[in-house]
Amino acid sequence: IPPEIFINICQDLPPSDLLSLAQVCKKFYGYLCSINSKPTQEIWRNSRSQFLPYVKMPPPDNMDERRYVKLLAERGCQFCKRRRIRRIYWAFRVRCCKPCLNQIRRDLLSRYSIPDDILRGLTYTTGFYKWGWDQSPKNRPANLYWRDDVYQVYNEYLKLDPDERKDWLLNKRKEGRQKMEDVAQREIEHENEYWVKSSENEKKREERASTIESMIKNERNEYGLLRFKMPIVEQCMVYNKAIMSSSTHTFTKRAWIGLKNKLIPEYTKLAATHRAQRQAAEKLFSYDVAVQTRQMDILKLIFDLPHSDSDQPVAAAITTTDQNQNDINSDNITHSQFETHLIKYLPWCPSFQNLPFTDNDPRNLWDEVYLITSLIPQLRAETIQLKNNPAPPFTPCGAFLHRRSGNKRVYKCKLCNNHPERAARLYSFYEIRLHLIRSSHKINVIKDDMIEVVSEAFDNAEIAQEIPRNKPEIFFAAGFNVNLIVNL
Amino acid sequence: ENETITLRSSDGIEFHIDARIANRYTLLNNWNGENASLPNVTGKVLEKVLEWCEHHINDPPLNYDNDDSRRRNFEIDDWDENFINCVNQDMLFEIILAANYLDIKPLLDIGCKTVANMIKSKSLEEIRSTFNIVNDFTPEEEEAIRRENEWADDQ
Repeated sequence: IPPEIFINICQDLPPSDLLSLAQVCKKFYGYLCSINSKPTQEIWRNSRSQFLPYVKMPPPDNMDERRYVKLLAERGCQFCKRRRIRRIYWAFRVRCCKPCLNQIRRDLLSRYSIPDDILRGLTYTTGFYKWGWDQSPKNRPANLYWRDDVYQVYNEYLKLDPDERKDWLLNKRKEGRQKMEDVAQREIEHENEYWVKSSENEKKREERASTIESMIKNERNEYGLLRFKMPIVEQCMVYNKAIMSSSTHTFTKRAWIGLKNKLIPEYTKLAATHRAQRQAAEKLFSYDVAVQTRQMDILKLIFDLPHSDSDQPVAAAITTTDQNQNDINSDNITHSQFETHLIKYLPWCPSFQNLPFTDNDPRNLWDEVYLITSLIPQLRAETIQLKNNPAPPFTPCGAFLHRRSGNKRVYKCKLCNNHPERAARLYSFYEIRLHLIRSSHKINVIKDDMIEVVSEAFDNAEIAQEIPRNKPEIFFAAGFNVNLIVNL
Repeated sequence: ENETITLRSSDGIEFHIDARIANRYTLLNNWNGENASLPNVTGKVLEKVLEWCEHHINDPPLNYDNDDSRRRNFEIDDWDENFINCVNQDMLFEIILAANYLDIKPLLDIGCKTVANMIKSKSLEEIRSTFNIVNDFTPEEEEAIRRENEWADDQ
């Protein structure tokens, strides 16, 4: 390859590749390591400005571009080879770790006593105060020099004619000041770059963590249910390690598969523990509380199921009117679906009111697979049945679901029959349900036969004063008995 | 408009090309003529180079003044990538040499960039084996270079 083409190729290469290229063969070494060749310096300078854009300062005196780039771009201590070191001490033009630095630089306050003045032309770093409580000039922080520099300059000094020494010292002083200014500038540039880099990396790490999180959150099992529950995932070591990782690489599909394989066993174990704990706690529930808890389990699961976009949110379906939705073609639906607009029929489903508990005890948790493959499809079928065969309008079910009477005061309390002054009072559906649990009736489980529908009142019905304000209230107003478990 | 010129490769194959191509690349123009032949470019290579020129016949005119901005703003498009990936390594270098010789800068850049991409992130040994380069350092020299790479030799 002719040199001009070699140069052209090198223009697109970052420093690290140039460094390996230089070691491939003699010819390349010649192209890349000739200190006095202008094109060689040009190659390195180009690579530096293209791939290390934050380094604006030219190389220091007597340093060629290649060494400059090496100093800047390589990592690790130049002496002990400790990895990942990137701190450059510009005073000494070395990249090294603290222990090596302390070994190699020279402390003026140590046993070698060479007068300060002789060293004025040298660059140095500042040490700590030797005695923290005594900061008098006598005990000022030590200037720390490069040992070889010290010997060299001392020998130079000793060779001088005594007459020349004064001028020499003055010159050195000037030279040293300039050099230190240069060093300070380089330190600042390097420092800035370091902060920019670390904040960039911080950003990348955050992005990576959020990718991992969203991948976990979007993972679904064979029933279309979310594979992982975040509260449990957050307790997994595997997950926390992945989130806290110092890696700045983007999180790839392959990495995700690897993480998933590690996460699943830990997650499964933890989830089982959680379930056992929950089961133990719920063993203590009263019968009615347990029933309501099981009903909520079903509701939660239904909301976790994937649903198509055409579905209306449940709250809207309750408070607004029942829009004439086309009946869903049941043939196309898999067992793991439950349309949102069907949820409002749930409280009146026979199987929902009399749930088939494991071992006939509502305190037992269900097996999730049983719920998805058997109970939920059953409930769904019942809701469709209810939808297509409306209950008579004189029943609370029919009145509420099919006459859109949710916020009309058309309901009477049957239990108040003994109190003539209260018996005639009309309530909205929500109000009568509140009445049943709050008044002296102290009802735990509301049943339809406690409520009378006053059909004549429909036309001029008053509008409800009490309206549900939060999620539990909305569910309660929709006929779900959640009154015992709102606080759990 | 549809004027053609004739180029002859070093092995005597003649190519009749659109004069507009030759006009784009000054050096090609110089080779037009009765008995002009390109001493350094074989027919096989010239065919490839001309195929590339043909495809880029309608590109905006090149700005030779600013070498730096040309390189910086330059990306290999799909056609070029396909074009360059279809040739083997020997041919790639032949094309680079020809593009250099004929002063077809964009093609030269594409070629060089492709080679650079072949080098990128490869280890020493991988570079050697990719390009069939023999390591001609003596063990002592190699050691010296390695030491130089590890040590601060500023002083």
